[in-house]
Amino acid sequence: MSTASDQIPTKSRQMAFVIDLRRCIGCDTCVLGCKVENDVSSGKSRLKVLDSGGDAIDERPRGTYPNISQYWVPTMCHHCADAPCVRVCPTTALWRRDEDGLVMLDKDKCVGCRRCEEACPYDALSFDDDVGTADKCNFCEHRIAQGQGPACGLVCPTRAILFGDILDPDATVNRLLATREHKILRASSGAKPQIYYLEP
Amino acid sequence: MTEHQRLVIVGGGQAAAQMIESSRRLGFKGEILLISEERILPYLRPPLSKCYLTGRYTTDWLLYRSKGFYQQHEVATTLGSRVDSIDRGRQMVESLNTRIQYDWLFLATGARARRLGVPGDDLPEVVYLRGVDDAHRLSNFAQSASRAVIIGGGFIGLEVAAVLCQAGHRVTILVAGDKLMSRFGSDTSSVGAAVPSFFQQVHTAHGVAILFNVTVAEFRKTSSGAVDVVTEGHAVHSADFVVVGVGAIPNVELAVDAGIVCADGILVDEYGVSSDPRVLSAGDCARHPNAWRAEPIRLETVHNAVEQPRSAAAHIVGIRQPYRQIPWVWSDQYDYRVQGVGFADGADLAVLRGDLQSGRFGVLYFAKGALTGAEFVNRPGDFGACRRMMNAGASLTVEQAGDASLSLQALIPRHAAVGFDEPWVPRPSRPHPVRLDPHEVHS
Amino acid sequence: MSSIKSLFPPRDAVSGARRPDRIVRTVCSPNCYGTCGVNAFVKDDRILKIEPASYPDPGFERICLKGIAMATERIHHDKRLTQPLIRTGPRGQGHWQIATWDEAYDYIASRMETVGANYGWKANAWLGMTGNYGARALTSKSRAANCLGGTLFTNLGLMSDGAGHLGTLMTLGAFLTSNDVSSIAKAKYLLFAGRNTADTGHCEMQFVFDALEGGSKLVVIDPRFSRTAAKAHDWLALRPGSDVPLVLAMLNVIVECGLMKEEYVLQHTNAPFLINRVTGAMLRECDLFEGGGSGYVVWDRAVGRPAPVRHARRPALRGSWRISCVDGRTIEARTSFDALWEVWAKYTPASTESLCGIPAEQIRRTAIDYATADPAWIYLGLGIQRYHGGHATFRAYITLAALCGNIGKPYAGVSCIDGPFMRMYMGMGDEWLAPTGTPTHTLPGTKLLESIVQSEPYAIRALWLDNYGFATQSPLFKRFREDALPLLDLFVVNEQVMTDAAAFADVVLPVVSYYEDDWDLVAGGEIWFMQLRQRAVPPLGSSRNDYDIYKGICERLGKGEHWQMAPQESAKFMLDTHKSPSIRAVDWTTLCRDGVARVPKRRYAPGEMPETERAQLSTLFGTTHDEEVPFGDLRFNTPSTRIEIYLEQFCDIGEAVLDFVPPIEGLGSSAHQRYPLNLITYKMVHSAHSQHTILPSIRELLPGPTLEMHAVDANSRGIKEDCEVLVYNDRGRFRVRARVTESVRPGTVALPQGWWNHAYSGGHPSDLAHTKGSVYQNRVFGESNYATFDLAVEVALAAGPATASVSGGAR
Repeated sequence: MSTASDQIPTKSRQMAFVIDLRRCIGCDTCVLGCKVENDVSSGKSRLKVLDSGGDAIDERPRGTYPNISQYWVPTMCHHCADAPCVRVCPTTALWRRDEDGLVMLDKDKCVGCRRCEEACPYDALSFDDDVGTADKCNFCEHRIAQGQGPACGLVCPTRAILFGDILDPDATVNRLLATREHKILRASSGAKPQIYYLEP
Repeated sequence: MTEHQRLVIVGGGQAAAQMIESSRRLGFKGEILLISEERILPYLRPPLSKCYLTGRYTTDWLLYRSKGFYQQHEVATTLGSRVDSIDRGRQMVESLNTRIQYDWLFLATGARARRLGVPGDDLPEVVYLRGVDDAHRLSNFAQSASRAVIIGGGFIGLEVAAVLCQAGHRVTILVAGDKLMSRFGSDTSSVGAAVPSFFQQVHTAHGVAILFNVTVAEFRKTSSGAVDVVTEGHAVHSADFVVVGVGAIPNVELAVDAGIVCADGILVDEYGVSSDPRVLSAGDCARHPNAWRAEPIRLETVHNAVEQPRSAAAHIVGIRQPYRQIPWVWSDQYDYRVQGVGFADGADLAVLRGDLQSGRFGVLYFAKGALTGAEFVNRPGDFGACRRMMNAGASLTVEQAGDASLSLQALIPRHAAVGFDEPWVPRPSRPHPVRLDPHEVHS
Repeated sequence: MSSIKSLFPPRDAVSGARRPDRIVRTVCSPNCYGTCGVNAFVKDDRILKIEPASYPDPGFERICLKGIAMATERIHHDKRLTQPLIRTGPRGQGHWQIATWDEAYDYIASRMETVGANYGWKANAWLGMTGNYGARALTSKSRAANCLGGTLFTNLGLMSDGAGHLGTLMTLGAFLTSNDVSSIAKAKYLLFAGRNTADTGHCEMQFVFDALEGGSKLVVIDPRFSRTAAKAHDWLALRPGSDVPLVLAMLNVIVECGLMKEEYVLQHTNAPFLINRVTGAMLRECDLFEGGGSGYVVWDRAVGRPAPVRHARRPALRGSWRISCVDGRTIEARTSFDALWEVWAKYTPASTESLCGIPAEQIRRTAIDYATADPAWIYLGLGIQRYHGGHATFRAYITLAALCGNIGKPYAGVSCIDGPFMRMYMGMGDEWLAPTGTPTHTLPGTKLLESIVQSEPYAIRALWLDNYGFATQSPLFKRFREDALPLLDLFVVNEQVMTDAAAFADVVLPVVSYYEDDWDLVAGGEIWFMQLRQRAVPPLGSSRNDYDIYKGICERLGKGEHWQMAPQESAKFMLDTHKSPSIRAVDWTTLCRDGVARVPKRRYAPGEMPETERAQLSTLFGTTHDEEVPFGDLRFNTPSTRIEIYLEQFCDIGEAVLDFVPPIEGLGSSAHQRYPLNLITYKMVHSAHSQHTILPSIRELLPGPTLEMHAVDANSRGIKEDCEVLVYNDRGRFRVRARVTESVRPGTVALPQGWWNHAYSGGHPSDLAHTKGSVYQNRVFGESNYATFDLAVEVALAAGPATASVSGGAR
């Protein structure tokens, strides 16, 4: 149940994903791991793996035979620090947690207007027809609460999905960002997304 | 530029909070003052006639933005205070005998419940549900009592009826007109009446008694502590408590007295600006132009409250951002969620989608072959698709509307593909580019 | 009055958050090599989810999309079989009656006995593949066949995995022994030929990425731009089936640049051995020296004359001489190397370009990089040997490694598929497999149709299948249905789900899913662990495991006494009686306690391995079996105890010298003239063969197969993206949607493998297959490999009403 927090925390975390595009082979294991962990409805997914052309299913390499290249980009909710979905939600069903920066969705509050879907630059929200509300990745918050990591990272066979506190200088995620070239998706959105992609 | 300005916000609903958020976001650096009659910070109003009545939620849960939000956005909030007058000439408002200068005045005074004005209107057992305190009173009554009479066949009345009925109360609804939910349905055809008559059947099936064409004459307290609702036809309905939901009146008195042009709402342009260039308004109290209508409209819907202030905020920092959103509403009763988008009046055709028996259907309205609005019962996917479609300026055909097996999802204009703004620096190219062997071609 | 609080009840916790009743460590493993240990979270006897289980060593946890889908969607799939079924009405019409096990056994036994009476008992036959990696599940059929008599069809050729090993067997004296993939980061250069770890071995791909991160270079040879090719530094887009010319061209470069390891070649291969130039036969000591033995002979430059290998001080690699024999003849002799080079010299990069499809400069660069890298690891995929000359491809890469001194070197050599699973499967003890002491008749699986239709070499009249997606995976199903099935008096299929093949059976027997079985052993595919399959959920309906199914029939037919072991007992028995000392050395207590235990790799110094062990293992796994470094002691179980680059035993069929054996339907063949496109059916990440293509969440990710064609081939046929096309040759046809792509070479079309009949219209890709044989393979193995990719087809726009598009899935 979401409750607006009263305090400005003195020490907060910002959870983030670091996804290694060199290691991602586009196998979709993360998609299924997430689906099963979170009972995502049939026909929907919280997590998509795009290929370098931005397409989820019709994967194509770029270039002309035989000088072609391809890489894969898992994308889910980016838990943006300035999330457009939070701003447009009329019922506060979407809200950003102060303690760790996660953008959460309270389905009890959601009335299915789909403004969030319209506003999200990352296609992260889908519509759950079964309950008539929005649906999105919540960083496996129920696992984070137990000290575990999100299901996508757990099941990835090539260890391409990592997570951690981007504000903690000693965290693995920061060590990776310091040593590898990285980007965020659609930086021009201004949403300050928290998935950092290491070069393919 | 704006750091020396002061924005005064009168009102304490969602529009007020949204104005704060949007103003700061777009770079307003000046002072922001919020003066609200409510006792608590801006909160969500829709749950008050729905889940909030269960008593399981706190007022903190109800808040639209946290207390921390107002601190972070550097807003000085004054709660429980009325603004008594506006002096437009001197750009001041007066509240609690204090005069406050403004550079920008944002009126988000919302609407108040329309009162019947009959004797007994003020009885504690007669609840006009508009604000959080009303909801607490109602919730308290609902814990211990068993008979409820509801006056009014609109959203408020019906939602409360559903909650009370499911909790085991005996519920009677008295409707002044001849049908429920005047915000829905139309006279276009029997299809147009589908939604109101569906809900009439649902309530009746749950054991709620509904009486039409009833006018209340008086509320009378009895010696046992009950309330008798006496109609003009001399019928008496006994209740432990009464809930009245007969519409809302926009709180425009402040504006009217100050000489701002109003007509059932403060008249504003597409940027939220009233007849006074320094005074803006939005939400339930504002009558604004809408791209889908010829005449300006005023709609009581939370959607306006959270979307319109964006245009007003843009205006005060010098950005032109006209308000352009197709309006939508919803109501939750029992296991049904009815959602409406756009407008039904003016339509020449109403198309039924899905089947009434299943309780999952929609009514789509067309004027000269173009979609003007739609209502859906338990078809949230269709509602969302239509809203997004209409908001993007797209439409669908009458055939598509009537074909329930066709998913409307594909009709939503797609976002641009997500990608990296700048390409990755490519790997060093192969030292000897490979050529295609012409002998490879097979015909 | 109910409480108003009871309205709006809280939402149920999602699968991942619900408390399970139990968490069971078991093994997934449907013929995919991942052999992933999983923790199954069970609630109300249903699997909520699975998570990767841990191993004694960190870093091996793995799982994949297929495993997740299978655990949650296959057990209760609507095609799942839970009761024995006996057909009513004609075969394949889908009319079944549910039977008890007794009724099913009655039916089967009476027909087997009738077949036996009319044709002899060996007319009753069994055939299966490796759909389930559980050791007991896989070997129960052999046990049954051996107990009852009858015929056991072998499957290595029919599964299209046999050819390469036949090349290896002759060259190295063993089926291939491989490096441990988890150590691949220690190799500096990785040459993957047809190897597609990212798609088909993705649970080991993390080790390849470790290698890339450490600066190793990856080069992929593949006609198709696989996911592995996408990660490589270089991609050689090979014309299908032309590995041999490519390798020979590389050898030309290597020798020309002086990069061949001559000393190694002289010491460890038979390249310096003298052969009779005319006959091609090796010279022996007894040919040249009075009282000489059967040892081989070289030209000793130290003394300027021939000498026995074991005595020569400076053997010559090149040269030809006239030599006098003891019997007075003078013969023209030369080194094997000379004979090899006479054939190989013409494969210069320039002349080989158009044959193998790789530009000369790329051949050159790859050759030099490989030969100068240290260590350089060649990893072969089975795809390269799925052509008529498949045996030669493996031989070629081994030759390449040998001439560069890489066989027997750590993190180098040539690896393919190897690991505890192969050893478990191929070295099962005779006491387990043939408890009566008498193994039964075997026939090669590729001869299935001949045995039924032509009664060659004898009539088969009853067939029992298990662990086999016969309809999608084999090249025989269409002809089986049309020609063979009418002649069978009995067709029985053990299955978990109603497959396209099971639909034609007389009796279908329901098999438990992997999660319902107990006490079976799954040996790691490429990871050195033994794992225990433990029951996570109770068997559905009346389903049984394969062992119990065969136990029933054996009891009915009077051989029940060999089937009385309890599951735990039989698991231990399989380990204790296994031929591999490493398998026997698995710690049973640890295995029972943890569900996983290490399979130890042993290390012998040269000459230390006991001869009894060597003899027992050698034909299967090489003389330095279980060594950390395959062939590390550089002793080979070949006639010369060396790497045999020259194979005199194949002189009569012209394959003594490694040379290109072209695909039988490849460029230049008559088949190719009429059907100029080469169809390869590749394995994809979404399914292990046919087991996952029916699962809903897999189909959400990948709605169906599409035929990949290059624009050049598509345009000339008027084919556009998503058009329905007809794919055909003389033997069959089917329709499918086309996809125009840059990722396949012109002249090649590619289709993902494992889709059932319903994914196509008007036929199935397997209808187009052939089982044309190779003389070499027949000689070595008694049968030829099913050459899956050696397939000429034509593609045209399909006429007539289109079927539903599979592209543009709903996300």
